[in-house]
Amino acid sequence: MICYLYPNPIYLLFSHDVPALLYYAQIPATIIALLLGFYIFWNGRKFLLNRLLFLITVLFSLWTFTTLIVWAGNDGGLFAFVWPFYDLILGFIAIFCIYFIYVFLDKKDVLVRIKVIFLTLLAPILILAPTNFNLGGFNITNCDAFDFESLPLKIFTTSLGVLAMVWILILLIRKYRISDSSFKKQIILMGTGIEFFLFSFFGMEFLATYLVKIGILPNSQLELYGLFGMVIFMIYISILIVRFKAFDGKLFATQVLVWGLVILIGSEFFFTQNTLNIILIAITLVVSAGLGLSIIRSVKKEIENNIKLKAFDVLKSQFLSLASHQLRNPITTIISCTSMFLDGSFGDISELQKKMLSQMLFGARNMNGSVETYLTLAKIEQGGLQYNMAKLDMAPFAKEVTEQQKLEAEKRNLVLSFEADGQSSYFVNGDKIHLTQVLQNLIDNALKHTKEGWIKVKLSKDETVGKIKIVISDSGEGIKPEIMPKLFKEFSRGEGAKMDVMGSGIGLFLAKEIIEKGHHGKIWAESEGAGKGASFIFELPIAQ
Amino acid sequence: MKNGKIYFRNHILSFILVPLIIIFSVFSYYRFIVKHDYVVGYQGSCDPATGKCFMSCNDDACAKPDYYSEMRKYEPDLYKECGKDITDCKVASVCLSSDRKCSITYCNKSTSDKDNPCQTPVDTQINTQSNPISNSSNTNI
Repeated sequence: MICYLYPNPIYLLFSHDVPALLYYAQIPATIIALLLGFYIFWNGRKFLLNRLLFLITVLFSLWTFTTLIVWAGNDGGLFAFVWPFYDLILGFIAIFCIYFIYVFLDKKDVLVRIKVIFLTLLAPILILAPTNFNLGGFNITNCDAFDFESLPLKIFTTSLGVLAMVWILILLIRKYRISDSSFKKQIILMGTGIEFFLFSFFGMEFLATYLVKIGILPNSQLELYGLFGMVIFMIYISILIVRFKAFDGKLFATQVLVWGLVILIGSEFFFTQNTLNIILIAITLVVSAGLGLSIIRSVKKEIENNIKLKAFDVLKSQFLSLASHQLRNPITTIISCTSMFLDGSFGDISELQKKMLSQMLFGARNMNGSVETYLTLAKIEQGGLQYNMAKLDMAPFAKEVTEQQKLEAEKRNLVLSFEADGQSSYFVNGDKIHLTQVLQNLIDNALKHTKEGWIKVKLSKDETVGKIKIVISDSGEGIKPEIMPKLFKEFSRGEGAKMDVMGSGIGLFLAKEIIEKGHHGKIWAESEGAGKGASFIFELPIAQ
Repeated sequence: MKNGKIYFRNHILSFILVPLIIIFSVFSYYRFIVKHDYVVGYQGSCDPATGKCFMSCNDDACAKPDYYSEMRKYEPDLYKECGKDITDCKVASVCLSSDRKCSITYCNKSTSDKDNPCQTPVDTQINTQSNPISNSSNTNI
């Protein structure tokens, strides 16, 4: 049955009889939402989060599509057919927004019982929307549904919108409390965007419909402003993609830049009539599109390489950790057995045997040190280096570590000494095992790079700046200025690689990690140049 | 078997919602597009001589008001009687005995409002002389 006072629509959606605001509100919001939703889906089809966002934008687009049919249409049958989908889509948008936020916050699918709750909430709409509880009839004079007949279901779907807002808010607040600062920012952006969208979409829908019904507003155009909430939501989603690499949209910024430029050049066609200009714009457009595609491809390749490198890096750390663990046990056995041979546990041994076993023990201990270093490095790279912090007096601690290295210094005809600036205590909050590793590394480093002379370990306390300082200085080969910036980098061996000096090239890197990241201290090196000796200094905060 | 159960649990929303949406769509299509199972409301013609008509004005002065009753008819009946366009269909304004759901609402205190006022007594006096009563309220709903 046709609404006899209304003209026939063009392509179901267009009519001269509907306000222009309808098209301005619906069409751009729908296109922006669909394009961004599809882009996100296309770039990460396997991710549930991307699929859910795309689903929300499709539902939103279906809603605007059905709205346009109802506003512009004059066929009662079509109107009545489309009408039940209104509430269904509204209900789906509310529920899938909650689902989307769950997956965004937890990075995994929701539990089955939550899905059952979702189904239960949608059930009344699915059952009642196509019945007389929603639409009994259609007025062909004013081309609208019968007044108030769908009120109970309308109230239910609007309540779902309100429920979604409250539910999402609770989820966001709970997650916000336990998140790091980066994710907190993402929660604020996502939360503001989705809450604004739901509020404007459901709020305006409800307000407009019922302010008209009770005669406060002349028409329901107010609901159209609610659609701009989707545009705002999409802007927030874009910020999340660009700033936080959310939705795995790695190429987003490049694609937006390239296609924005192409659209800008293409839009010049609308402002020019001159044939020569049209040809020039066409050439520019083709060249820009070609170059743009090539840029996008090279950025994509770069990103893929980067992902592969990161994966290899993880594999390397895992291999390092595994291999070191496998080596640790046999080395410990070699060290203990050799020590027992040397101390006479298995009877007397000749001088030659003693000499050979001593060399064996020295080699095994060196190897053990390297294994420990690799294990620590693997732990750092996997983000799992644990610190057992406790109050530690650095004076007896540093003295003991220095004493342990004295034998090695004597073998090399070097004088290794320890001195403190005479204060009563040098307490810091530190992990004894890791600090031992640092100090041993630094002294060992000095021993390796000093052929003759001395090595001094000096301890001092500066109460004014609240720091305890340890300086390990030597009369060795010194450090060239160009080596200095690379000294604390991973696998950087300075001049050691060229000289006959054993070392993994990660001792100083580990020292920096342990002192600066683990103990909030500072470590650096000083040298006046090659042949003038060097000092390695680290500072730690005084324990309160 | 166990994998199938896990797969179902993981995709419970799709497994339940997709068939329901299909049923929903088919039901709506069958009800509204095929069977036309709904009631149509419109403004039926009304004789002002009855004094029970709604009134609407076409201009500020309301020199030539329209008088109408509020009709509701079952769409398949109305379509059978008048076709797709009811503009010139006189049967549209009356309830026939063959109509399954039909009602005519005339204007009174409970049915009128600001947008749908009742005709004034003056209208009644003027129009009674020229238009004798030709139909009466008939409700089949």
